[in-house]
Amino acid sequence: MSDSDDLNGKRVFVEDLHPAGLYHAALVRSKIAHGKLRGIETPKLSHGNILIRASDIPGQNRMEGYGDDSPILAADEIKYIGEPVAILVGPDKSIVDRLASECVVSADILPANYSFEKFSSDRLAAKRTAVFGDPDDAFAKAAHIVEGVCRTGRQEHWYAEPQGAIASFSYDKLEIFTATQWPFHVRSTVSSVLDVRAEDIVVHPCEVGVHLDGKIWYPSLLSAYVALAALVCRKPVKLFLTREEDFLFSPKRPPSVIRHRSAIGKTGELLALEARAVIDVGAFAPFADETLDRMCLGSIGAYRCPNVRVEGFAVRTNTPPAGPFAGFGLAQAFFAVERHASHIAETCEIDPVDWRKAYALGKNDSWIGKTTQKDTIPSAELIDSVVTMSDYRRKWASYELLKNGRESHKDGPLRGIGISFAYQGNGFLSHGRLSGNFSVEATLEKNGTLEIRTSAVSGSRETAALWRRVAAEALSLSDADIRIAPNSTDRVPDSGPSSLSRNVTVVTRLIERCCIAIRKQRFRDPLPITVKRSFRNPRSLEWGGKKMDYSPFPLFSWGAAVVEVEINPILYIPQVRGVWLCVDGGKIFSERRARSSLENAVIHSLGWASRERIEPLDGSFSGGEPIHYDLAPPSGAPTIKVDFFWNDSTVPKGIGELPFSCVPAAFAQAVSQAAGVSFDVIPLDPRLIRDALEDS
Amino acid sequence: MTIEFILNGEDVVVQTSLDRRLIDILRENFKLLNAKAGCRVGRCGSCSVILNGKVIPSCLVSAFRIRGGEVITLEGFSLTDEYQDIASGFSRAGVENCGYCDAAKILAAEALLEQNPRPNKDEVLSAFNGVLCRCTVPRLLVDGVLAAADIRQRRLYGRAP
Repeated sequence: MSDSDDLNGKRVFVEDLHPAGLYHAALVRSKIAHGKLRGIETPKLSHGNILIRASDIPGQNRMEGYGDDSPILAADEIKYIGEPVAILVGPDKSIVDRLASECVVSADILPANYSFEKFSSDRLAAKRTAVFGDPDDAFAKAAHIVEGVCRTGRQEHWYAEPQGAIASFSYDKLEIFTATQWPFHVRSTVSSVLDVRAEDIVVHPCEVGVHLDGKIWYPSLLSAYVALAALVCRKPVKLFLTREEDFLFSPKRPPSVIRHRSAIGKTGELLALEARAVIDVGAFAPFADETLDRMCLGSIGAYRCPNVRVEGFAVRTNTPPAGPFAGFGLAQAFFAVERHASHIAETCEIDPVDWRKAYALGKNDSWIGKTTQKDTIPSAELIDSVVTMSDYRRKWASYELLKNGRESHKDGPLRGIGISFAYQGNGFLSHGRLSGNFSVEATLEKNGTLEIRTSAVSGSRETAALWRRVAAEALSLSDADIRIAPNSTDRVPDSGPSSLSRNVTVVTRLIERCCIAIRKQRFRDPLPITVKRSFRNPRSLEWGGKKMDYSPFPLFSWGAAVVEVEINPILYIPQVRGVWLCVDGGKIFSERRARSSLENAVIHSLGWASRERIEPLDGSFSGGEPIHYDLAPPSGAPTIKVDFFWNDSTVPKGIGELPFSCVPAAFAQAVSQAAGVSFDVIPLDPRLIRDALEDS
Repeated sequence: MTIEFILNGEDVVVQTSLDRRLIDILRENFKLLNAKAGCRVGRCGSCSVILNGKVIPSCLVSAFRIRGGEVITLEGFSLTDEYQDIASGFSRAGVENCGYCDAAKILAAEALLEQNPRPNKDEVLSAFNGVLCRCTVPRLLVDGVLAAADIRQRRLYGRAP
């Protein structure tokens, strides 16, 4: 987000850009899920239309994926339906689309794997194991052992604009226009594919809108296609996916299966916890390490537990690659561990609120081998706050009475209420270049205005407003005196991927550090003063049973949520009557914006939990499905009440992903109470509820 | 085929095939880019325009349907007092759209307010059911439209509803 990202007062979308002499690209995609590529039969190509294959790539046929690299074009082996095997490019879009659809990809078919719950070791993209304490001994002494399996489904990002990219030559530079969360990843990918210097490529980020992390790596792949096509044709080239093509082949939130087994003491205390998390990363697994680490950490939950065994597996299948989604793996993990917490409370016949308050992490508690939590964790305060706001205790007791006094589910009303407690881990864990040296620059000009230079891309104007506020406070300027420079890669330093609230936690801190340094020099050195500050993750995350004597996340945000539902006994629709959320988000600069950001995330997390279903059939998301993808309409939005844990914190924290960790488990618990049947799977749609109720 | 119609208050003529979609005519022939192609199946609302007084998804309208008609895009609508009512109402409520769904949300608000100058909360929410975009909180849309209704009443009648 920059001050000049508006073109004539409007935001710049890839769809709206149309350079003179533009050629169009279309991808020739595989129609089989797994096979050995033999060749591509093309129709007669009229003048100006060109087919580009993997063998035409001058540099490397791969995109760095921080866990698993992806090929740009399939060269030998095809691994999923829709995998690009060639690029067709030409001056007329309709002809290019027709020719691409008439290309026939021939291949020797190989057996395909669509299941990820059972897997062999050769299908693993990433694996984690860690043991803290002595879980076996704790299980031997347990008064109760509680076990369960939770499943979560995919979720489509449904960002406003489908993915696309444009490449065009400007003198000796290749310019790329794409809506990306990480402009420098686009630059390094294109540089590696074309085998040219990174400095010869300029990436101009376009408007990303609400991306939910759907535009971290996929734009780099599309940019590589148009760059390659532009190099071959010596023309500007555009590739813009239709909504259907985007829906069928772009990354989704990976589905998961997480098993928990816990040893419980006589008074309900958690003696030991075992978690085994498995995710389906699809054919390739960009960011698999980050997602799996988060899933493993999240699976341990936010409760005191001295003995922990955790395993994580990222499994490849012959389906389109999955990718990051807001919260990465934490959301899936917290759904599972919070459902498990409710089962523990049920087994011990303790109120779910009381169990959580009794065993939630607090200051000086140990967590995964780390001796103490140095920060104050306001777990009891957050839980008490949502309990009071929602009138949880009265409702929970009433709905228990209703449930127990019912002879059949036809004797409505079917009401339930659920609670959940979770955290958001801000910033990336450390993996290769993800832990690299990311920077921000700022210049205090002679006229007293400040220019901030960062490649960070915001999904909203809220973050840019926050940056201005922080800089204004540090230098005693007005917001109007602060300018955020256009974030083209030739003008700004690499500030890293704009994800996981890094814009708030990392970039904001760097801006603040720049401004503080300028303040110190201000009356000593002549203007202009330019300062650059960099960030590097302090330590790499280590698994393999080693003791972690540090916090893996630079910052934690904490939250508790309550969800109340009523199931319609005829249609089995779980109608959300209300959502209450209390959040410790550190320093809140704009309460109004923080509130709306949280409300928005609550709605999308409820969508994931209740209605947004997308399942591949034989490796393919069937055609036409975007029409049926069930996004919640505004009229279905529940009443959402948000409160903040106000303290004297001076550090802003990311909060936008917290509802994805808090809300789904509370929703499932509420539906379980309403139906009198335990549900450990999302999306929890009417069909699932009907079947369970009729079986019961 | 020659198609004549009124576009944002001006008589225009376009040479096109009869089955070409209005969204493509607006974007390609007239460079009116506020309507976005979006889903191209009439579901997301990003391509909304006003055709003969009604808000419709322009991706579902063939060229022959606009012959002799009047089309108003967001570019044209933004010159009107009615647009100012809605823009002011949205601004007052803190509505910050992503930019891609501007045509959908602003024209959906206008369609509602024209039919129902004093909508209630549920009517406002229902009016946006044809807009599929993750960007704006429904509560803010309600606040924005109710504020716009208030502003319009004051502009037209010099008093609040």
